[in-house]
Amino acid sequence: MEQESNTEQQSWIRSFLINLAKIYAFTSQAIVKALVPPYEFREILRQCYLVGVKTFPLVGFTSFLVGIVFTRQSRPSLLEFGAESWLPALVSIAIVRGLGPLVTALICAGKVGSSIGAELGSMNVTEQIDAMEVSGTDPFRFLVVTRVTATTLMVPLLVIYADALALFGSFIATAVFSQTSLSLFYYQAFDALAFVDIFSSVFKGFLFGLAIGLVSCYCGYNSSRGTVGVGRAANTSVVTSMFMVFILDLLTLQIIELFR
Amino acid sequence: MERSTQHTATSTSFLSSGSDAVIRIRNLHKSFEETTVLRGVDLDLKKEENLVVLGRSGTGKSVLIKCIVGLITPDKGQIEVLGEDVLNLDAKAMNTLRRKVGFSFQLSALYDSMTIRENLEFPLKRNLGIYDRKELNHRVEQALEEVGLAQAIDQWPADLSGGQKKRIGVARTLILNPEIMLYDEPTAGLDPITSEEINELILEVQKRHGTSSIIITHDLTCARTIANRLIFLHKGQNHFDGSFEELSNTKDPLLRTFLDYYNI
Repeated sequence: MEQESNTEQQSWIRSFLINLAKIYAFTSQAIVKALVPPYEFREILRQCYLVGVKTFPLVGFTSFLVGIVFTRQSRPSLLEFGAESWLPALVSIAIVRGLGPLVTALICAGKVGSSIGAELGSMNVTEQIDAMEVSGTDPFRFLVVTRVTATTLMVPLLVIYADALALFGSFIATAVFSQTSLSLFYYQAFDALAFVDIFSSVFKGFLFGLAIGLVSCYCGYNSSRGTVGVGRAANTSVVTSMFMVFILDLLTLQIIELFR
Repeated sequence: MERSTQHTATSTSFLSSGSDAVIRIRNLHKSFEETTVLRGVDLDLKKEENLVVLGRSGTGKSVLIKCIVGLITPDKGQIEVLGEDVLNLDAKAMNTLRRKVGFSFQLSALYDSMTIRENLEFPLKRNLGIYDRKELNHRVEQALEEVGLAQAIDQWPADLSGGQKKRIGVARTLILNPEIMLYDEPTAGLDPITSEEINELILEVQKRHGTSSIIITHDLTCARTIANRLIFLHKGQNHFDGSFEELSNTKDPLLRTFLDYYNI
């Protein structure tokens, strides 16, 4: 019985280490191929459109709502201490430092991650990746590098957009209860922010985008054969991407704190 | 290092032996973890020949042709395609060779995210660097007319039937004028009439383009229609090599079981 358990443990450790090595090889190949020509500019642009433009409305609307909800929930506590005037500063710090990048990344992990995982998984199952390879095209460069580049470039832009709309949502929620102008609200909001806050927001977006792209492409590209594999690839892409986003959020927080 | 030197030495002698075969395979072995799929397969494909590889499911037929185009690396053995030693080619030389070898996949493998036009333009743009709209249109229309599906040009793969997808898959490989065609289960999952149409298409392609073809199948009707020669694989090894007539007259119990199923 004990021997059986030991064998099971050994096999689990072996499979874990093999997977780790595969992930390392996949990541380094993606980074090297992204930096070394030839570049797939047309496909990168197409993917940027799919990742960025198609996610714009969803990210915008969600961020706007987050701004409203956060403001409505913070206001009573500040009122209690007679610090209502600090509301724009509080909201802007919370959104730019944490909420904006996090909400954007979670939406992208759900929408873009699942779509990449399912698409590549399905291409793998139906031999489209093999077909690409025998027709003389490097499928890794064409499918993986372009998608990882697109998510890495577009998520930071989406974060900036999400921050702006969340602040606007916050202004709307503030304006309902107190007379304040848009310019005064934004002046107070940005006055509380330092360069490092805006930098950290964009930097997080960059890392989150890279992680979402790599994780989703890895899950899809290496999906096992069959339709079950496609579903699993889409599911694992989302779950692992979200998990990675939280881990990276914690790590970047520690790093950014050193510069604050 | 010692192993690599040995391999090169063997492959040199293999290449220099001289033959009219466009594909020559010797002693091919392939295993996936604990499962051995190929156990020393030999194969010769002569110029303008239609060679059918028969066998039950899981005997390594598809693995065999995937080894030919470098999609799967064998554990042991030698593969020579159009005079090139496939196992010792670098990526660039491999891609050049792949332009001369068309591969029709079992599931057609049309790109779902592209229209039929874009599917056919893809190899032209990527391999031949053709971006001129007139030239692209001309070549795509010609390839589609050849497979009798000119009207499908702006449709999506999802809108086509299984047989139509197979035809488009063949058109996509023909567009690069390959010297060799590899068909992986061309009639699998099709009704008898559509299967017959695909068989006729394979013969027509061979006549019109002078291609040499390997057709992987377990469909004896398909084999009877198109084969100049047949190979029967059993447990990853050559079990029979000859004409359809020789196969149908065989007394071999294993082959008889297979043939009896088709009343041959």
